[in-house]
Amino acid sequence: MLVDNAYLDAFEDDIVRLSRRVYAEVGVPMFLVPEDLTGTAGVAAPDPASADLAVLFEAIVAALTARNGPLTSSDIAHVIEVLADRHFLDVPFSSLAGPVAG
Amino acid sequence: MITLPRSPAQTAAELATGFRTGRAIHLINYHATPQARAAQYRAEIAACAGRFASLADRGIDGLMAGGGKPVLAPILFEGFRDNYDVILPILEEYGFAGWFFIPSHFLNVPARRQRIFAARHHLHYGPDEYPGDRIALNWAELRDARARGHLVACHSRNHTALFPDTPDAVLHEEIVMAKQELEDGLGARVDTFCYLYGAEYGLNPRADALLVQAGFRYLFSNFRLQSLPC
Repeated sequence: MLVDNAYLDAFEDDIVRLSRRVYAEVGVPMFLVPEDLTGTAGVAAPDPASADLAVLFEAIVAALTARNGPLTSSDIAHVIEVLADRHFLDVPFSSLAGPVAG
Repeated sequence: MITLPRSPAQTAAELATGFRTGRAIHLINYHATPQARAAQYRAEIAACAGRFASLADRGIDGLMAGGGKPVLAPILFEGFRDNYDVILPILEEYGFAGWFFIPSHFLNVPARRQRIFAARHHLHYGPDEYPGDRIALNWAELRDARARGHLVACHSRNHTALFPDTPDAVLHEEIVMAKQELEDGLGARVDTFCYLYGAEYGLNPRADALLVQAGFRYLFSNFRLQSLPC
């Protein structure tokens, strides 16, 4: 996927939109990476069928770094939050938020 | 406030390598889950049905190992009562297990004091749907949730941030005493810890050593689920 200026603009718009969520009350999808520190497991091999997320993450991090300078830890969290919002389901996860009952 | 043991650039490179293995863990972070948002939670969980396996079927080791249908880990932070009353029935309706992250002492605070405890310990509680009553889970509810297949993790004792210069006595209370208090109340072993603000292993060596000494097997953090050294 091409990460051009238009893509980055839309991505940053999503960062802004999602960062306005009421984190204390809404579901926030996220991706975590498992890491074995026991020293008993071998290094997990890359899975070519699952490379899409990694490729997209790397491309966006590189493009945002080129645009904004070195990323902070919060920037990384925002990138993963947007990726999770867009790719957890077939529709953006945040689109499932309906009106809140009074 | 996310702090990392290595640079953000190095962390991003490590995460990309992790994503490349195809074992990315799918989680949804929830905190308070008020009834006023129940329809939203139902829509979210319903949309996940059929696409993800339950944490109850694969356990934490299965979550770490990956493979097969991805596992959904609905994370229920802070020990609020509305997790039990509102979102737990929704998760069960769609065949998912939740994972409670509990600051153990919150459940022992008298009901009259729970709101001020929450306010003083970064436990953000919005609309008050239990006026005059407790807002935290009680131990019977947590034991019942576990008996129904949900998981429980330790989220410190008082929801206290732990830093490299935090005194040993505080680290002991928030890690070792928290584990004991949670296990005593739950009546079962708890092997996963999560720091307030989600620090990962390597940032606070004295605290990390206590985690291992106390017998925790996993550390849940902002970007990783780490199986700890023995």
